[in-house]
Formats: sequence, structure tokens, C-alpha cells
Amino acid sequence: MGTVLAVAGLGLGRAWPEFDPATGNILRKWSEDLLNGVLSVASENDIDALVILGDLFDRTATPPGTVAEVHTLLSALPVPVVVTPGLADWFGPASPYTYTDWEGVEVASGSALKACNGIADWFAAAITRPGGSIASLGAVAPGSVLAVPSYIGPAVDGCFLVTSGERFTCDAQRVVVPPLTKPLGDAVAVLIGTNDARSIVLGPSPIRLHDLDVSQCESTDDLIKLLDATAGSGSAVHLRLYGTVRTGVLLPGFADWSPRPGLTVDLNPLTFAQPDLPNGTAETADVKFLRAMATHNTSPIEQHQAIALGLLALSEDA
Amino acid sequence: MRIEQVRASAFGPLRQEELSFAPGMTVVHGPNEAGKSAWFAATYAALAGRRRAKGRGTLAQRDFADRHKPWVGSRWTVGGTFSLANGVVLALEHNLRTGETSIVESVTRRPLTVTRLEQQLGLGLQTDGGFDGARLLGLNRDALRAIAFVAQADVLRVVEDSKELQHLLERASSTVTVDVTADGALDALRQMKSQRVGVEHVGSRPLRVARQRVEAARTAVDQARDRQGEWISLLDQGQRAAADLAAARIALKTSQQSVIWSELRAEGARLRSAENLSKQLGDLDQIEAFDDSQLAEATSALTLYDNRGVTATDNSGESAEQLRAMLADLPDVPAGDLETRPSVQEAHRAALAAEAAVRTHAENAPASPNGRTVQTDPDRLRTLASILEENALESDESLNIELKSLQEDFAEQVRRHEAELAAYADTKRTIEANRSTYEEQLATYRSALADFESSRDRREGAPPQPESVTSHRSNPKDAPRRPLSLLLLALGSLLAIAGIGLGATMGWSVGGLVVAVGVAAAIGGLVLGSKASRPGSHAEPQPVLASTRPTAPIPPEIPNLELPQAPVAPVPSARVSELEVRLQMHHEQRSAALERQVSAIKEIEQLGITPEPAAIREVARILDDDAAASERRAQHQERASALDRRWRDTIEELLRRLREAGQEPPWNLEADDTSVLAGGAATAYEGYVAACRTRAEQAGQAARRVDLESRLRDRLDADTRLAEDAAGIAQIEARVVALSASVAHVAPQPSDHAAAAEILRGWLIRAAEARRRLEDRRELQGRLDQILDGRDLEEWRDDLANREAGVGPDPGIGATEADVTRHREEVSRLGTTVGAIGGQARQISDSFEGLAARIEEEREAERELAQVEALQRCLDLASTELQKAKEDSQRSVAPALEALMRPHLPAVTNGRYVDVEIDPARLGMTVRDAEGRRSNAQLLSHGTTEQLYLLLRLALTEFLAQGHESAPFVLDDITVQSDATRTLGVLNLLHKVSRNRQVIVFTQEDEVIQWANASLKTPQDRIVAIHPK
Repeated sequence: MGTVLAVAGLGLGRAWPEFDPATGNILRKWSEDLLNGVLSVASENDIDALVILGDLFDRTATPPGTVAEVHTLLSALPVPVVVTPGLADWFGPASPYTYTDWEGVEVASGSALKACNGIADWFAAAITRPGGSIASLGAVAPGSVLAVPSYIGPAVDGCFLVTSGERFTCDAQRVVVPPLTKPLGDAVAVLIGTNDARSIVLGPSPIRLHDLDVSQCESTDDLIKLLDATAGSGSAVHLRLYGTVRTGVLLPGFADWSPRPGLTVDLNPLTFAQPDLPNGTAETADVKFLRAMATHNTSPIEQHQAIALGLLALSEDA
Repeated sequence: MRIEQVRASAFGPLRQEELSFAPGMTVVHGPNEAGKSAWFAATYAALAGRRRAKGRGTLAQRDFADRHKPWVGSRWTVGGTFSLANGVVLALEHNLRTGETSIVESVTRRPLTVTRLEQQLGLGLQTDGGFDGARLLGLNRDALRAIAFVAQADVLRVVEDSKELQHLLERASSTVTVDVTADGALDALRQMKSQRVGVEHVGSRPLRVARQRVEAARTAVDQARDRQGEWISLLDQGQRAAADLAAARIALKTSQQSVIWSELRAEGARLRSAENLSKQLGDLDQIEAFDDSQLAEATSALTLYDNRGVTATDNSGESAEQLRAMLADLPDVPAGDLETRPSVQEAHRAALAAEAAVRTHAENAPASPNGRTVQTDPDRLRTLASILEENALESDESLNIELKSLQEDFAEQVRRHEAELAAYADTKRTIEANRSTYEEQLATYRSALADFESSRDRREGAPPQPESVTSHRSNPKDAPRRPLSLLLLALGSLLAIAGIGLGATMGWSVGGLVVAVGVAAAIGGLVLGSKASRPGSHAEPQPVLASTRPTAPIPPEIPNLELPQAPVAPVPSARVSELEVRLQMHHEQRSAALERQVSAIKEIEQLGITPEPAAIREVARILDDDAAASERRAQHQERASALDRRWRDTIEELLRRLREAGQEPPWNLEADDTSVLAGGAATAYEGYVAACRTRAEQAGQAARRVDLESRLRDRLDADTRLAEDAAGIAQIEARVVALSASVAHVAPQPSDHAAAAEILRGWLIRAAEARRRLEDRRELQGRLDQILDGRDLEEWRDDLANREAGVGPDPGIGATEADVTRHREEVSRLGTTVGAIGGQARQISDSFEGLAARIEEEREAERELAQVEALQRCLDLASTELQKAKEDSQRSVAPALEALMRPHLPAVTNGRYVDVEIDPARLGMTVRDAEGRRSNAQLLSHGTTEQLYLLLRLALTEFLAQGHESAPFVLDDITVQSDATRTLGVLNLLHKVSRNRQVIVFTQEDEVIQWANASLKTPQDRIVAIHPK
């Protein structure tokens, strides 16, 4: 079989709606750098073929110009290149593989396994409709290598399965190639030899990830100072906040503070403290407000932030 | 909490001085300028400290600094020792200039930081960045000053305007720390929403901006998607066009190859043709030669010989002599008309038409009249017939029936009216009896009322209560008003009764007026009496104490004296009168019709006509017919005369035209009878026609002369030409004979010109054949030369074979040059299309800004909008819940304060008020006396108001301190405005309060000092005297 370099999820020219446009631009530039990195690895490791397992592009966002440039780069490789369209770039009308001439690159165009022209014993299949999958691997000769994107079904006895997935795994029956452009992780390619497969790290994500415990922030000012100090300026930063938010602390979006471009804040891991009610039998409006809010049927974050806003109002008029 | 000691190191006029307080009640007294107010402020500052935050602070804070900074030196310090309920004793020292505080636990002599003390007590103890001892009491320093530290000015201010304390109440109901009001917080939330959310459709606040950004971002995404879709579509088209171009190029190449093969095949055919021509030329080598001049002469002579014609031997038809005889027999051309003139024919047709009209009119003469002898107007006869046909009007029975029914109804109404009149008289008598009875009862009531009033005047001879004195003093005119009101009341009642009587007897216009005057007088009396009896009393006499006061008489109940309305007499229906009139008119019309019929019958009988309408109408019709017949006959006669005149005119016109044509009539036509004249004219016309016919025949015969003369000339010419032709033919025949001997070399010369001609014709045929063969050879040579075009036949054959071998296989599609041109154009067109699509795609590529970034911007805008909307939901939720909490707390705070104030209320108001109510909505205070009368606390006398608000402060401190340390109560000259009784009440109240809470009173009043000396005997209390320095 020789040595095959397998990559997945390059996502050239794709949109990153979970991030702001500044971060999206950084990630797109990174994915272009990663393609060059893949070509470098291909030349440095004397590979026999390059297999791209899905999501090389994003049908909805990748500009056709990028597609043409990528084709130029891949077709110039001195080894066979096989592309299996995946979920994001499924093969079909108006796909990057139909409106551009892919001469010199072998593109799988059917959901049924088909022998690769350039790589002996390799069979490839593509996803051919939106949200589709490889329904069945079918019957192939023992000893074959099956390259299918996003396949999670059982392997075929006697064959080796190469597919794409969330993280790199490898065993006697299959190897899973992780997405190359992973915003919060390392870019990993997989080098598949005759008897083994190993991952190659092409580099870390350009986004700095910080996990911040906000439990110690006693006030909104404390939280904002912590966010500003951690985020710094310039590069893309992703802050993942965790811990229990104290009563009265306003979170980003509710406080009069907005993250700078390139800074994204993940509030999902947070938990929220319930307000401490004063001792005694006080019947003042603030106590009644806190009691009512403590049992209000709304999302925890909005319940907590409504309390914080109420307490802020009750303190600012002092 | 207890204030053990206050140390004024540097505070206002105080320097290095101390003041200790008892755990219960401490009275600190001294004369003016002894420093009581300074010690009052120092005590407050020792507990509450001062703000540490930057800035100038509030107006009250700046005023405090201005008033209590040390008079000398830069230090501004004050301290104190405070015992907490849990046994902890804290010694506080405040640097009021910096806001810093040092804390020492007095028992252990261990210094504490504020944070440590907060952790130890589980409380927040800071306000505005500085230590705030009021937090130990569940308040802040502002609330402490407002509630627990009461200066004389505060009391006076509350008396003038209670809003400050009401605001404090609101704060107390709003927050545990009494630092804001719920309304203020709600305003803050509203302001936050206004600034950080705004409204959806107006302004530039975040919500609207976020929505606009989302819309703009979506539009940008749509545009980028469209642009990218357009780009991809172009690339697709380019792919297809490129494939088409490749196919077209193949088709072009194939068709070009096919055309080359077609040319090779054609050239091969030409080669074979050349070979064939070359072979034919070889066969045409031996051809006989002829002299062209001889050929021409022989041909000419033979042509003349063949066309020489035949000599005429005889001429058919009349000879010249016969023709001359026929000319001599012809007549001359006649004079006169050969045909009837059109004018004569036209005049003849007009005469015939006029005659026909006369005869037709005569056949249609009208009939004669009948000859009726009655001489009268037929229209009058018809009028009389109509009169006889009139029907006498019959009476309408239904009108009679209706009239009778209406008359019976009216009679029934009259009977009912008489019965109602009798009942009305009975009712009137009963009301008169009730009125007499009521007047007797009223007289009795007045007598009893006079007795009651004299008894009450005797009872009210005693001195009135203070409030009563005040109220009577303010209304000195009330005494004389009361008898006047009674007089007006009685007079009004009598007038009303009299008015009712008058109304029943004389009519309600007068009676009603008297009743109105009476009622007005009675109301005036009641109003006057009401004014005279206020305040605290009623117009009607009422005993003050039920056990000793006489009972007021009860006025008699007024019976119903109103007369029912008198019955109204019935009125007959207007329909009765209408029916009577209609019946009378009907009768009169019927009589007039009968009179007209009698008169008409008489008139008809005088004319001798049967008095039947049909007979009368028949006579009228006959009279009309006779008149019409006479008129028609007159018209016929007149028309006949006109037609006869026209007939005569046409005949005279015909005769005139005949004369013009030369035809005279046969006799004198002067007859009067038109028929006779017409007969003459007809005869003349027929003679004219016959003469024309005769002249025409003669003229026909005379016309042959020209033809016969022409035929004679032709006959003479033909005879001359016959002689000349015979000589020419002989000459031609001789030449043929001569030529046959000379050119055809025939010997001996033939004697017969026909044989010579045949010999010559044979010679010419041979010459023509030789010429044709010669020309054929020339043509073949020309064609061969043309095909070869200078080439050698053998070389050409070799060259063609070589080219066929090198062109490749024949596609066999039979393409033509047109096909090649078509394919070439298709290749050119597709090439242009591919180029154009590539250009468009490059144009899009150059200007494409990227869809991915637009999608991210759209998502970012949507996140921002969602965040603003979440903030809006949270602000709305907080506002809603805070509003409900505010209303709920105000409802609960009010009863709690009432319960705390209620036990002390009689003591501070000297028993005047027994209960208090606090309005939950506006937190206003209302007190109630023993008789249940309510008064607004703000509208009472100054002393009472001041005591009530003092009590409210006490209640507030108790209420707010629930769950915390009990707050000391510190007062500065608060009894200055109280009278002696209320001062004692307040002091006793404070003394009672001091059992549970420390009370410190600063005073200069001797009355207070005396009370203190008499009352503060136990160690729990203390009297401290201070002196001016």
C-alpha cells in the first residue's frame, strides 16, 4: 500500500459563525497555512499518496477562487491525490468538485465504494447529499483500505477503514483522522503506513484558550478586571468561564462591558449562586424581590442576571 | 447596642473631652453655648464615621463637615466605645478628615481591621468606602442620622414638611439597609433600560442599533450568496461551454477532412475525363478540306433556288372588267336621317308615359258619398252617446259600516269617562281628609320640638370643652342662626303643603310654584341649621349622653297628598268627519249624472235617431265617411286635370321634335281634344321612323363603292407582278445548273435544274460533315487543355495518387465547405463564449469580498441582538418583580409600624388620639381619636405633629433593627415646642423606651432637668451636666 498522508476537515474558506469576524479571518488564514503545511509534510515524508477525508471546503461559503487555487496546488503534487467530499462539501450539483475542473486530482463522486485509480487497494466513497452519510460499505476484497468520510458504522472484516472523526484514534481495524482546522486545539494529520498509523501535529490553533474560574469575583468590577487582564489585546482569545457566579455579579453582555474584537467568551459552563436572604423577618422590597426571584421560573443565567440588575438598581440610588 | 462613651479629640469646639452615657436614659443638660449640639453631632460621628470615597459628597455631608470641623488645628477625630448585644465592646477612633477608622476590641485590647470585624460579625460594615457603625444596626449612616439621631431642626422640619420622613419610610419599606427606595430602584432600572436597551423603532439605543445591524448583515449575506451563486453558475456555464468548444473543434476537423476527400474524388474524376478526351482526339485525325467561298456561293445559290416560289398561271375572282361594271350599278348616298333621333324617341316615350298616367288615374276614380240626411256634428253625437253610457254612481257600503263602528266606539269612550270622573272625585275627597290629619300631627310635633329645644339649651349652659371653645370662638354668628333656620324650615313646610292644596284645587301651575318656594325655604333652613351646629354636632337635636339627655321628638310622616291627574274627556275620531264628508260628496255626484242623461235623450230624439249609444255612434261614423268621400273626389278631379295638361305638353314636344327632324304632321293639329292630338302625333312619329329605315337601306348599298374601287386596283397590280416573277425564276435555275458543274465537278453538266440542285445539295452535306468533325476536334482539344491546365497527364495521375495516400482515411460523412464554415463559426462562437464567461468570473473574483466573513458578521449581529434582548428581558423581569415587591412591602410595613406606634400613642398625645393608620400607597400618617374621627397627621397642631413623628421615628428604629442590634435613640432639644403636659408625656415615653433601648437626651430646658432629677433615680439612668468653656 505504501505510505499515505490522510487529513480531514481543512475547511478552507469556511465561515466560523461561533466566533466573531476577526477570529474567523484568523482561522481562515490558518487553514490556508495548514494546507501548505500538509504539502510540506507530503514532500518531507516521501508519501505515496494524499487522501483528504471530507470537508476540504464549505459549499456554502468557500469562494470558487479558493477552490481553483487549491486544485492547482493539489494537482501539482507528484503523488496521487484522492479527495472524498464530506458533509460540508458533499458531492453534487454546484459543488466545488463540479464547477471546477479537477484534472489531476481523483475526486470520489459516489456514495458507493469505488477503487482509487492512483492508490492500489484503496477504495473511496463520498457523501453525495446534504446531511447524508455512507449508508453501507458493501462487499470489497479482503485487504482493501476503505476511505470514507464521517463513517461511524461497523468496519468490514479483513479491510482497514480510514475515516474522519472528532479525534485521532487508531486500532487494527480503523483509523480516525481528526479535523485539521480545530479552533481550540492542535492541527493533526495522520500518516498511514503499511502496518501502522501515526499522527503528526502541524501546529497549535491561533486562538488562545483560557479557562477562567470566576467564583472568586465578588463584584462585576472584579469580573471585568479579570477578563481584561486575561484577554490582553491583539491576538484571538477564547475565554471559557466556569465556577459559580456570585449574586450581584453582572456577566458580559449584561454589564456595561463588551468583549473586544477577537475575544469570545463562553458562559455555558457557569453555575449561578442563589442570593442570601437577610436574617430575621424583614419584609422590605429588596428582600421580597430576592425571594420572588429565587423561585422565578426562567433560565438560570437570566434569573441570576435579573437579580444582579435589581440589586444594582437598589444600590445605585443610595 | 449601647454607646458607652464618646471621645471628642478634635471635633468642632470640643478638644480632648469625653462624655459617658448610662445604659438606660441619659439626660445631658447645659446652658446655651455649652456644646450640646456639638456633643450630639460627635456622638453620631463616633458611631457612623465618615465617607471615605473620593469627591465632595452630598450636600448634607458637606454641611456636616463645615459645621463640625475643629475650630483650631488640622486633626478632626472623634471616637467612642460601643457595647454590642453579644458582649463585644468596640473602641472606634475615626479620622474624619481621611475617613479612616481604627477599631480595638476593648476587652482584649486587640486591634481589628474592618474586614476582620465584618467576617467576625457576618455583616458588611462599610458605606462609601468608609467604616459605618450604623451597619451594626441594620442601617447606614444616612438612615441612622435620619431616624435615630433627632435634632430640634429635624422635628421642626418634619412639622413643616413630612416628605423627608415619608421618603425614609419608603426606604425602610424598600431595603434592609434603608439606603434606597424601591421607586428609585425602579427608576434606575428604567434608566438602564432606556440607555442600554432603548426602544425598537426610535432612536439610536442598542436594541434598535442591533436590529438594524442584523438586518444589514442579513442583506449583506444575501448579496454575497447571490454573488457567489452567480460566480458558481458562471463556472458551471464555462465548464459546459468548454466541453462544447472541444466537441466543435473535433467536428471542424472531421468536416475539413471530409471536404479534402471530396476534392480528391473530384480531381480523380477530372483526371479520368482528361484521359477520355485524349483518347477521343486520337480518333479524329483524318478530315476532308473544303473551300469556304465555294461553300458560301453554293449555299446561297441553293437557298435562292429553294425559295424561288411558283409562277401564278391564273387569277381567281372578278376580273377588272367585272369590277368596273359593278361600280357603275351602285346608287348615290341619300339625304336625311338614317336612324330616328334620340330626342324624338325621348319625346315619344314621354308622351306615351303621360298618356298611361292619365288613363290609370281615370280608372281609379273614387266612389260617391252615401247621401245621409242628418245634419249635425258627429262629435256631438258621440258625446251624447257617452253621456248615455255613464253609470249612475253606486254608494260604497264599507264606508257606511266603518262610520257606524266609529260612532259606537266613541259612545263607549264617553261612558268610561263618566265612570273615571266619579272615581277621581272620591280620591280627591280622601286626600283632603289626609291633609287635615297631617296638619294636626304637625302642630303636635312643633309643640314637642319647642319643649326639646328649651330643655337642650338648659343643658348646654355649662362651659364647653377646649376644642368646642375653639370651634365656637371661631364661629360667633352661629347662635342667632339656629332660630332663623327653624323658622325657615317651618315656613317652608307650610308653603309646600299649601302648594299641594292649591295644585289640587286651582291647577298645578300655581300650586307647583308655591311648593317650590316652600321647598327652597325648608332647604335654606336646613343649611343654616347645619352651619350653626358644626363642628362635631348635627342640625337635628341629639342627646350627648343617652342616659341624661331628653329624647328629640320624631316629626310626623308626610302622607301622600298628591292628587292623581284628572281624567280627560274623550274626543271623537277625525275619521268620522272624513267619512261623513266622503258620503255627502258621493250623493251629490250621482244626482248630477242622472240629470245629464235625461237631457241627452231629448236631444237625440229631436235628431230622429234611436237613443241607443251604438246607433248614435253608427250615425256619427256614417257622417264622417260621407265627408271623407267628398274630399277624395275633389282631389281626384284636380289630379286628372294636371295629368291631362302634362300629356298635352308631351305631345306638343313630340311634334316639335318631329318638325326639327324634317317630318311634318299629316294634318293640322290644332284640336282641343288631347286624344285627337295624340293620334296625329303617333301617325307622324310612325312615318318618320319608316322614312329613316328606307334611307338607311339606300345608304348601305352606296357604301360598297369604296370596296369595289379597292378591289379593282389590287386586280390590276397582281396582273403586273405575275409577269415579273416568271423571269427571275428562270435566272436562278440557270445558276444552279452552272454551279453544280463547277464546284461539284460533275460532268457532263446536268440539263435539269432539279438534278443540278440535288448534286449541289449532296456536295454541301459532305462539306458540312467535314466542318463538324473539325470543330469537334477543336472542342475536345480545348476541354483537354482546360482540364490539364498546363499539367502533364501522367504527372497529374502520379500526384493525385500520392495525395490520396497521404490525406488519411475518408470520414465518409459527405461534408461540404458550408459545413466546414459552419463548424468554424461554431468554434469561434464557443471560444468567444468561454472567454466571456471567464472574464465575468474573473470580474466577480476580483470584487468578491467573501461570504464567510459576512456570515460571521450576521451571526455576531444576531448574538448582539440576542444579548440586548436578554438584557431587556432581565430588566423587565427585575422591574416587574421589584414593583410587586415594593407594593407588597408597603402593605406589610404599614401595619408593622402601626402596631409599634399604637401602644405609645395615647401617652404622647395626652389621650387625644388612640390609633394611627399609615397609608400603604403613599405612606402618609392618619390618627384617629376615641370617637373614631380621623385626622391627617400633617394637619394637626405643631406640637401634636411633632410628637407623632417622634413616635414614628421610634417605631422605625424598632422596625428596622429587627434582627440587628437595638439602635440607641439620641435627641437634641426635641421638646422645645411642646407644652408642659406633652413634654412630660414624651419624657415618660422615652424613659419607658429606655428600658429596652438606650436613650440620650440633650436639653437646656429646666422642665426637662426637673423631670430628670425627679425620675432618673436608678443606675440605669444618668444626668450629665456640661458647661460652656
